[in-house]
Amino acid sequence: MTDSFCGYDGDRDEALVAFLYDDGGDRQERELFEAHLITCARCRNELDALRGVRTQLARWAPPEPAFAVTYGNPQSAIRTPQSRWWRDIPAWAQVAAALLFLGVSAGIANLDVRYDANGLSVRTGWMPPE
Amino acid sequence: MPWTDEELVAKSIRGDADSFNELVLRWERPIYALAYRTIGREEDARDVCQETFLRAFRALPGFRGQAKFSSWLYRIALNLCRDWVRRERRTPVVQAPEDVDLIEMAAAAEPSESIEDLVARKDLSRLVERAMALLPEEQRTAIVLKEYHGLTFQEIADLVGCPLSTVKTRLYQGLTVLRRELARNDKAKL
Repeated sequence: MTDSFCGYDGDRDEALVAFLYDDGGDRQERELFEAHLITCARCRNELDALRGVRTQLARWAPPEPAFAVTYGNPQSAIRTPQSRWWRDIPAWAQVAAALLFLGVSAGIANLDVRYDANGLSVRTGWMPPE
Repeated sequence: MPWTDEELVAKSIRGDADSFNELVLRWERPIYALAYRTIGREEDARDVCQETFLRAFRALPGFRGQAKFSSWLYRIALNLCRDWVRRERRTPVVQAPEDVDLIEMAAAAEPSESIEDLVARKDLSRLVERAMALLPEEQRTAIVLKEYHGLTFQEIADLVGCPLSTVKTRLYQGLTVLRRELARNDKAKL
């Protein structure tokens, strides 16, 4: 048998898929195809390739659903978006909040940043004065 | 011992809202994942998921347990996805790479996973998503149900209403397209 010729006596495509998934079906037919595989390089190669496709398919994960459906009162089903509230805050407000936080933190720490001939020095109120 | 789906359905029909909530909690992620992988849009997948449970709740008194509760839910969700595709008259949309949020990615990382591995994993995930978006709806649905929801050929056939052999053919054709597309991407990366 060559790689390009297959003499399987039956519906080859269906037999290949049935073998690939090992999904119940006719045991005798499966054994027949299994015996055929020993002599048919084309079917063996295709089976390996389809197994490879299945391996790749297994890597496809849908995005996590960002919702929860509750049916406490099923007639009025509520869809509750999961909390990603920070995304609804404008970017400028997030930056302002971050700066405010830094400012307050620096104030509490009594931060003193200097750059002089001795280089950069950072001192906080927690450090003893030199 | 947790309640079975069927027991929760029976309690829900008798008016126990908590039981229905339990069913929602149990099935909302699989249904959302099914919708997302079928239509490719997070927001719309969430809507489909919510609508699926609303419809299920309304139709619950008529549910006689001919099929598993999960199969019944899948059928409702798939019909809604089909409606979405028809309404939008387009193939699933792959969300743009700029949606990627590095902070979220870092949070999603396995503790032992480096950021490089994480990026590679996300890249591959996106490649698969793009390749899946190229498939005709019926092939994509067959692959999603088989690969990600572990349904048997027979269950898929019952769900989408086609012969068993058609399910296998759709899977074969879909996987063959994916193989070609993923190989093309591998070559492009070299």
